[in-house]
Amino acid sequence: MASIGGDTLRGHLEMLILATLGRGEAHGLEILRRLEAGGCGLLRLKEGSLYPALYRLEAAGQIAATWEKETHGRRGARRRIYRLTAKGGRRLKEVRGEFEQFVSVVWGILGVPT
Amino acid sequence: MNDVDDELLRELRGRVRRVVGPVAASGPRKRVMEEELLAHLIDVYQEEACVGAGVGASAEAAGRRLGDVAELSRQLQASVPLIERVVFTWLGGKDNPMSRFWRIVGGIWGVAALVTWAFVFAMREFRVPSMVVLVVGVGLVALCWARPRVSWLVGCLGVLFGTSMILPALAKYAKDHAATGFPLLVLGALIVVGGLGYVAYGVAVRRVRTA
Repeated sequence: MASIGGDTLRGHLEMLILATLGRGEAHGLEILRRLEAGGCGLLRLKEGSLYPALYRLEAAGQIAATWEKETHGRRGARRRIYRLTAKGGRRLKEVRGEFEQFVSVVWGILGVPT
Repeated sequence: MNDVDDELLRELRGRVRRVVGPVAASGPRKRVMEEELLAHLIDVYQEEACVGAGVGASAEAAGRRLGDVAELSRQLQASVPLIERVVFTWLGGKDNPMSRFWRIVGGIWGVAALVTWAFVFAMREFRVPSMVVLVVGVGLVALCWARPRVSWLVGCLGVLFGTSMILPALAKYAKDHAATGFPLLVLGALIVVGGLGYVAYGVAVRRVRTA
């Protein structure tokens, strides 16, 4: 099966991040690990692309971040721990509904039984 | 745990700075980006080193996983709010012949001119002239932006235009001693100062290009 990456993934990245954080707070690399695990190895994302999406979500108030206390051998560089806000939770619910509808419409057109 | 020595830390930090450096954003925002990307890069380096790759290969793999530097800079830039992007593009433009100090002065002038314009616009009798000032002003600034070499000419026009506002306002004040023309006077003065600034900018652009 072909991997999913580039523009296809970028269009849905924010939704995937919200869903990932719906399972609990996480730092950037942990979010990537969860995405990788959920995508069964088929998601191909340049790791740096995650951060602009996180900053956009943070600016929109859908996620919030705090610096971690320990640097764990990273010589002063700390990670930021992201969590879903109430607004983000509502948005996640909305996009789940929208995506469900989109998938059922597209599957209907493609002739895939739902 | 694969320790990160000073040399490797410098290399990774340099990589992150190549990504974050060109982003037009405030200092605190860029520091957040830098620290977070560095922490990520170190984590990924340690992950790669754990599977047995050497120091150089692990650092290389970490950089590859992060993605293309220019593309990532562009994506980070897009995540910066519009106003901050405009302000810091103005303050941080490397091809701008003005020093940072004069760019800050120019920015303060721009804000002062906008605030004064808003005052003038709020006065009913000056609504039409203030709209003319706005259209002419935006046109001249756009012309300077598109053709920096003609900035001196635009500056001269600005000085003349500002003077044409100041003189009638002064005459009105001398005749009636009414303070109603005061905002117009201030706006005219700001336009003259801005015009002089554009003349100086135009001369600086020509000097840089000739050199």
